[in-house]
This record gives sequence, C-alpha cells and structure tokens, in this order.
Amino acid sequence: MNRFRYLNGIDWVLTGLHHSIRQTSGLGNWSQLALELDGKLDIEHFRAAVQRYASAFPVLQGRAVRGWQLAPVWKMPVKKKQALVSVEKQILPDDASFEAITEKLGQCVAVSPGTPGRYIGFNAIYTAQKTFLAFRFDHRLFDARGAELFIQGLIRYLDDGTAEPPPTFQIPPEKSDLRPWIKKFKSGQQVVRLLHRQQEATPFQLESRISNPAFRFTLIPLNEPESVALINRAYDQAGYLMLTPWLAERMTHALNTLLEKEGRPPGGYVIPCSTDLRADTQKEMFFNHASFIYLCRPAGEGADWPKRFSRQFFEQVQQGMPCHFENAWKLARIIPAPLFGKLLRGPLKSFAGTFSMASVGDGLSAIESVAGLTVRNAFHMPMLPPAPGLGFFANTFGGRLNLCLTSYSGVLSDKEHTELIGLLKRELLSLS
Amino acid sequence: MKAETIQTELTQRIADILSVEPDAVDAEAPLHTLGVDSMRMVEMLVFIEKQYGVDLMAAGLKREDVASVAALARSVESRKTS
Repeated sequence: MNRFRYLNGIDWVLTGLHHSIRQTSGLGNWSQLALELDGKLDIEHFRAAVQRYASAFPVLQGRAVRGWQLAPVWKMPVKKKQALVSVEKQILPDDASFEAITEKLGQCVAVSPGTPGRYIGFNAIYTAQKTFLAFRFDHRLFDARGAELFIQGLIRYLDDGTAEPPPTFQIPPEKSDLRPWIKKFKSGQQVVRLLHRQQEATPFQLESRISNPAFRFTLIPLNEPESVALINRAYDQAGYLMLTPWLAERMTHALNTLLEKEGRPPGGYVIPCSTDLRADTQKEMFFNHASFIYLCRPAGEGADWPKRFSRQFFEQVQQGMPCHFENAWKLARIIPAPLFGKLLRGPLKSFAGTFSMASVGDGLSAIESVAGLTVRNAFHMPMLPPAPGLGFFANTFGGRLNLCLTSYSGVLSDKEHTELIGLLKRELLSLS
Repeated sequence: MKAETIQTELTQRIADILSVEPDAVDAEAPLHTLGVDSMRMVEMLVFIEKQYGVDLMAAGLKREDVASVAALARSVESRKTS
C-alpha cells in the first residue's frame, strides 16, 4: 500500500488557502455538494454505510508532512483504521423557505477544521417530504470533480446494499516532480507576465474589513425553461458552449452597475476561473487536478465582452496557461503552509482577482437517486479564501442551471448583496 | 484533406478529451449532449487551430457550424479549401 503521496503545486496552494482562511475566519477551506432528495433519508442506514465506505480510504486518515526531499507529502496510516465521519441530522419546519434551507446549508459548510483527520462530513436536513443531503469536503483532499466522484461511489455502494466494506482504495503514486526546475521557472515567468498584464487593467478588489467575517451563500436555482433560454442566449452571444465566459461577463456587468449606482469609480475586473485538468476520472478522485484561466476586463472598455472573454479562454488554453499555472505552483511547495497562507493574503493577493469562478460542470447530473430517493436538484457550494471574498459559481443538473453567489460579510453590505442578486437575475434572465 | 478524414481525427481527439472510446462518440450528436463543456470545447478549438491552421473561434462560432463533430469537420474542411 502506498503510504505517501507527493502533493502537487495546486494541492499546496489549497493547503496555503486553508491556513489563510483559518487565520482570517477560523474556518477551514471547505466546499460542499448539496442534493435535494424527494422523501426522508434513513439516517441510521446512511450513517452506517458512510462509516464502512469511508474506511476503505486510508487517505481520509492522512495529513500533510514534509518528505525527505522537502517536497510536501500526504502521509497515510500504516494500519487500517475505522473511519469516523460526522453524519448529522437537522430538522427544519415543514414550511421552511428555500432561503432558510440555504442558510442552514451554509452553516453546515462554514465550520472550523475540527478534529484532525476529519476531512469530510455529512448533514441531512429534513423539511416537509424532502431531505437536503449536504456533503462537506476539505479542499486539501478533494476538488469539486473529485468530490462528485466520491459521492457517486458512496451512492453506488449504498445501492449495492452490502454489509461488507469495499476493498481498500489505493492512491495512485505521484512523482515528487522537483526537476527540471528550469521548466517550472519558465512557467512561472509566463504566469507572472500574464498577471502583470492583467494588473494594468487596474482591477478592484472588494475586501472584508471585519476581523472575523462570517460566510454567506445565496443559491439561485433556475427552472428548465429559464435555463434553456439563458443557455441559448449565452451560446448566441459568447459562442456555442461558452457558458462560463458568458456568466463571467454578466457578473462583471452586474457588479459594474452596482458600483456605478453607488457612485464608486468602476475599476477593471480580473476573474480567476478554475478548470478541471484530470485525464482519468477513475484514478484521480483525491487531491486537486484543477488549474486556472484568468479572464480580464479593463476599466471603461465597452463592447462585445462575451466574445472577448471566450477569446481570452481560447488564447490562454492555446498558450498552455493552465499547465503553466500547474508547473509554476510546484515551486511554491518549498514555502511552509502557514507562511504561504499569509503570503496569499498579502503580497500574492493579486492572484485572487475581483471574484472567483469555476468552469460550469454537469457532473452531479450522473446522480439520479440516493438510497431509492429521487434527486430533484444538486448544487455546488464552495467557500472562498478571504481574498477576493466574493465568488460566483454555477452547475447544471438535469438541464437546469443552478447559480451560487458567495461572499464574506463585510465584502458586500446586506443591501448591496440583495441588490447584486437582483441585478444578476436581471442580467441573466434578461428582465427589464 | 477530406471531411471524413478530419471527422475521424476529431472523433479520436474528442474521445481522448472525454476519456471514452471513439466508438462511443456519435458524430452527429450535439457536443453538449456528449458532455463537452466550455473548457473541453476550447481544447477542441485549440487542437483544430494547431492541426489544421483554422481558427474557428475567430471565424465566428455559429452554433450550426460547430454543434457536432461532423459539423466541426465540415467547417474545418470548408475553411481550409476557401
């Protein structure tokens, strides 16, 4: 059994962000998937299955340490241990609004890192004849796609109905990849040049000035006709399948309108957009296989931004920027994680941009039912690092689009937050 | 280069991108039904630009010109010969 797995550069960035979030808000670098189920989930049956299933993954009992070459590694236990995964039950009144459910889901993910060794957790929220099943995961171990694969495996295991734990999951080995350092250095040059060019757009950063900010999620599920109309409009304006660049452009437009209304000088926008690089979904369930595209809209430039954002997407893939980011971050593994967390909040803050996004995914559509209960909808709810402190995410489920606006308290006031949601809905649904 | 040859190469490429066998790719199916998203689409367009020297993004991505592997192959062929 592999007891060690080298962490790649993106893993180390996520570890740095974990420390950064802990230092700022006392929370971990969590993200969450939430499934809306039709009916009441049998929590005892689910809890027992989760403990058995999780025991097959020694990686969930591991921790980050320095290897003999000084590259960080994930160290897993020699002996198989019984997994202890938190599975909690929460009950809301039958007439609970969707906003109240979202608030409760937000409380489930915004928790302190807790007992070392606990990198995942579940919450089942009951209301009327529904269950909202929330899967919280630590970003040091999973990216969004990896978490989707993990929960798909768990649901298959539940459906099998076996009382036997699954076979122990072997983490595929990863090279330390310390050499050739010159290649990583050259990738670093490309990254710095790109970010330097984008800083010329004078992007503004919203920042929470509250010392211990809370975290806020707003979910905006669209129905099927709204989703179809929106997606068609995105394809017409930004190009076929260019939904992600189009959503980025609409968000910049909504933010710009908000700032102009308040008489604040509109700046430029830089939007880091994470994107999945994994080649083999079977082996690459754990750790991070994502990289970034940086979209940039300079202040005061007007026309045709949906197409220009699509073009930026194309040009950065053409230039190999996602791979340059992946390579360049490998050099950062020498920095101790707590110091890295401080650097990401300080000198490296410009990497954060104006707001975060992720490429729109459809991975949750593969989950049709959980323990016999039909899945009505499924959402991604990612937490964010303190900078930029504002994020706009989307996923599709069964042809419907779900939007998620996330922010720290203090980044936007309650009034601004509500106004931004109204503006976004207007931008996206083309309301007058 | 004929559209059929281009279509075979594009089918192989999209199968690689989606981690599926080429036989599983329906050349006439809309790309979004195959699981192609923004990033995968851009990877395809970059491949087309490198392989055939055709920048479909700059040419204007009309949906009917790029909506399936077969449509992509026809678009590449017509732009290479024009």
